[in-house]
Amino acid sequence: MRKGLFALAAVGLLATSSVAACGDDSGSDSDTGSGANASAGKVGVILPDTKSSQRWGTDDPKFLKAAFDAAGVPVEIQNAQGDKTQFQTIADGMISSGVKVLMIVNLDSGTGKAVLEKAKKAGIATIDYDRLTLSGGANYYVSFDNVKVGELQGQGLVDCLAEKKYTKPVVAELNGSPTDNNATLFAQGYDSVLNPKYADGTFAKGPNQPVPDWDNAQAGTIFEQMLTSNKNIKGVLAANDGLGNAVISVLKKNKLNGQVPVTGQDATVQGLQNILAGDQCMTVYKAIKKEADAASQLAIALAKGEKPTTATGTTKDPESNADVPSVLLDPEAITKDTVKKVIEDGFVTKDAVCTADFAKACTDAGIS
Amino acid sequence: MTTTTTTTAGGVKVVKPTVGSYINDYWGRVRGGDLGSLPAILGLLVLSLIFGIARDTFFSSLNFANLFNQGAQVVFIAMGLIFVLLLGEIDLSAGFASGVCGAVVAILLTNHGWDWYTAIPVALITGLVIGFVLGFLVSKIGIPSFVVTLAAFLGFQGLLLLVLLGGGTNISTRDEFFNSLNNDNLSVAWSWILAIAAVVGYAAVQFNQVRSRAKRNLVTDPLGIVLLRIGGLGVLILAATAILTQERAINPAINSLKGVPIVVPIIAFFLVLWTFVLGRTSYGRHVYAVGGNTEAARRAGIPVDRIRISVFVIASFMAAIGGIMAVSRASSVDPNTGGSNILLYSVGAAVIGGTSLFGGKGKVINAVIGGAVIAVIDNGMGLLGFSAGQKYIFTGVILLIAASVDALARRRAAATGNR
Amino acid sequence: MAATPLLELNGINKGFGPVQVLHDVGLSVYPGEVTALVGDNGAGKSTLVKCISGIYTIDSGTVTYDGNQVAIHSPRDASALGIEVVYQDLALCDNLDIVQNMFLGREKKRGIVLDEPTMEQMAGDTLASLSVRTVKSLRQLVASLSGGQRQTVAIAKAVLWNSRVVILDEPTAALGVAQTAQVLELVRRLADNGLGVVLISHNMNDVFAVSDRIAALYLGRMAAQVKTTDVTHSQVVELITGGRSGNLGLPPEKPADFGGDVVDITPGGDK
Repeated sequence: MRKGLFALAAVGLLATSSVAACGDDSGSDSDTGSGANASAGKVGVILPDTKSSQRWGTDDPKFLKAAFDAAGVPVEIQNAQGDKTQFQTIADGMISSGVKVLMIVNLDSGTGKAVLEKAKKAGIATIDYDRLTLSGGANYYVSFDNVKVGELQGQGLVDCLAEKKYTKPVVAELNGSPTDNNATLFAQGYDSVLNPKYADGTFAKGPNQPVPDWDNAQAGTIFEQMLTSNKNIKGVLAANDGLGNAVISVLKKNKLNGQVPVTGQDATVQGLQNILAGDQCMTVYKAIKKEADAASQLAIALAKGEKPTTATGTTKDPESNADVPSVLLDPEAITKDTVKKVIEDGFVTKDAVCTADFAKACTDAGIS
Repeated sequence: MTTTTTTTAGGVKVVKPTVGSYINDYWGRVRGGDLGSLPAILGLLVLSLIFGIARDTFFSSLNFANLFNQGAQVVFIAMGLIFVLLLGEIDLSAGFASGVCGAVVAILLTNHGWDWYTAIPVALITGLVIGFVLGFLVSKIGIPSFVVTLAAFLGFQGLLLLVLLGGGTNISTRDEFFNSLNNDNLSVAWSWILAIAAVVGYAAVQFNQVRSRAKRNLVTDPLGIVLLRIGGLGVLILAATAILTQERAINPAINSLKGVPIVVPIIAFFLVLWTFVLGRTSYGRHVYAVGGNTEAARRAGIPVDRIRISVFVIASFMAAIGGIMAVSRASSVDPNTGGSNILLYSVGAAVIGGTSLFGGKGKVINAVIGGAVIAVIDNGMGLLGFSAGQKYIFTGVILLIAASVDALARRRAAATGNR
Repeated sequence: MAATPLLELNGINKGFGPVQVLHDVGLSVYPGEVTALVGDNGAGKSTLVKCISGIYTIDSGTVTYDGNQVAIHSPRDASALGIEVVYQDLALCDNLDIVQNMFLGREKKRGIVLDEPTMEQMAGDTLASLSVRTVKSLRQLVASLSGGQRQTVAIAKAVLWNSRVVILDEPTAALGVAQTAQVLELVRRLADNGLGVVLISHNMNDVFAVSDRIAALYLGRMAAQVKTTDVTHSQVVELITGGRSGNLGLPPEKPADFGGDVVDITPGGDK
């Protein structure tokens, strides 16, 4: 009897925090430094998880390590596997091991702030990478201009809907995770484009919901219910490619794919294929290598005790109103015609995108 | 009400039930704490009414069809979990096992260009192997199932990440047949054929049972009750088919959308299969016996270890089917397939449906009824535009109510000598 | 009374490691008779029963069944011979009904499908042959039965298989007065139906009410096996507590003091 109750309690615990998995070090890669530059301190990098996007698991560790190795700066890269406790434990370890620069991608602003403050007390230079820690007071911030990402998504949807010539189409919005500040920034961006359209009656405002943890399966159900209660949805602003794909599956089921433009972000293989198939209107390409290079350049300068010169912009922390010196990179909108650019950049391979099903679409889109 | 006493079964006096006494007996069992799926069915009706009143699209045929696709994964996993729960064991890894099997099928289909008829069996075999390993560790090595499946929960989650990161985070499936499994519908003609076949089949089984018992002069259920059962199920199935064969396309001018979702006969097939196995084979009898009193089962010569392994095999096999359905529905697999709240919902479905966490009590239909409750909550609250946070809280409350009903019923049963 | 025993044990020894639990034990069970097996806690009653039912294998000694020497290595062997044990804790599944319990592990099947009508009929016939008429329905869950009814089901389960020797381990231990009487009546009926019944009991009233013979174990030895009519209450108690009573029972510690004849009716015993 007690066994049963215990088990039920455990099921609950597990399911509510399915990310409680102990972080292994799949993303970790410590480099003792081949001794090229003895004066450079060590750089610690903490990435957030391996689930919300493939970049944290494969792309970032690869690009960052390459950049630091080239500069001969020792680096330790770890991944918190979506676990906030793990995130802090890794940070504590790095701080006590004497890193000179700490670069973090926070899981939420709360733990991010705690880590940054501890690092500052230890006299460590801090960089917010990709996600801004609200009130965290990091020394620098490197990211794509996330508001710009949202603007590109909003504009992309406006263009696609204009092409369809719908009169006053209903637009549904599927926002990113409510705990991710970037999701707020994306929304700020696309709402700045869409709200005037709602106001002047070009579009009609439809349902609008965030998707917890960017969970694709939940996104599917959320959108299916949106569509059931509001059958006139003619355009969907989905905050990334995963959510976009969930929306497209539901549209396919209702044979509406291709007629209802869907946006995305991250230029994933899946997203690009959906664009080639005509089911997705656009995605936003953020050249992760550019972002990783910019961040590592900044960290290398700090590690060598130099004053970085690349942080020319500033970002206003919406909570503390502080201006954080920033490197802001420009994202790019990708449509059918520009898919080839992502492949040419080496961000995704042609083999991955142009599988047998897409061979013709690839040729049509000028990918060779 | 009159009761006639007949002497049957070789001399043991038993009271021949009438419709009235049958209902009386049932009511007595309910009052004695043997509730079965009754609370879940009542809950389902109440929830449906609330959502239906709040939003009339809830009762639309489009939404009705959505429910099946949305609930399928949870229902399949819950069906398998019921076997494990019958032994008083638990399988915490079922959610991610479904994710792993889903990933296997997606990788084979998309990355390796296999056909659905080869990819699906491999995924199912993966499920069988997972279940065998879990069951072996539990019964032969003697590690508590809680620990074994907790380890597997973590392991599978990691495996899913590793396997998928090799080829990009999300993998889309493009096989038309595969994607149709949990998205498309039967033709109207097939919908009706299968519905009528189901009703006729059920009636035949019921009458056959009465006939073979009557032939031996054994007590039979009163004819009125048998007819009521057949009639009730018949009305339910035919009404559902009638609703689902309505045109429900969002834009009927462009395309037509009608028919019973393909996943419905698949659910029905496994419901019948596992109900048969549990109720009509000695294997099923032994599962109940091991769950009710392991020592008694062992003394009766039942191979307890083999039974224990087998339930984990069934659970993981059904999880594999759940995973296939989830991937089919999303036409995509990602590292969170089978994660988040899928396991909680599946265990919740079994418990809400009336399966006891303490072993020995439960039926496969519980998974379907409990799964329907879960799907209706998610669906209805989605229609009303509730946020995810609100949905979690509400589902939690429902689960708590269901578990309390189970606990109170047991207390009541203990008090009335029904255990 | 039948002259030849149905089941006969001779010189049974059983030890667990250094501990010798049974010493040269002999026991005879006659068809149509109730043999009461008595003894204090730790006298070796359960061990003896487990040796007969095949849960333990004996170290030495012979088991003769129906005139033939047999070897019992597992409960299955015992069942195959027609020896059934009804355990004190009954070994019933509360979540199954009467018929399901009676056929547990030996279900009747047609193909792969359970043959419920046949099982129900056989269960009913068996209960009727034991003149049990107290259950409301054969499809009642065992959980809803009274202690006496459960005991009845457990006994009926044992006799269902045309068994010829039924061993009952403390069948009345947990029962009230009326139910005890019912069960004892049932025990008597088993013997009257021609079965060899072994009744393990602590309760002298039960033993004298129902048994034909009494076998008393004392510290792993068979103190005496006597006809119930030949002994008194207090003699049996003395046998249980001291291993001897007057000229009955085990010889005194020193063989030199051994006075009268040992009255041992155990055929073949004390060889």
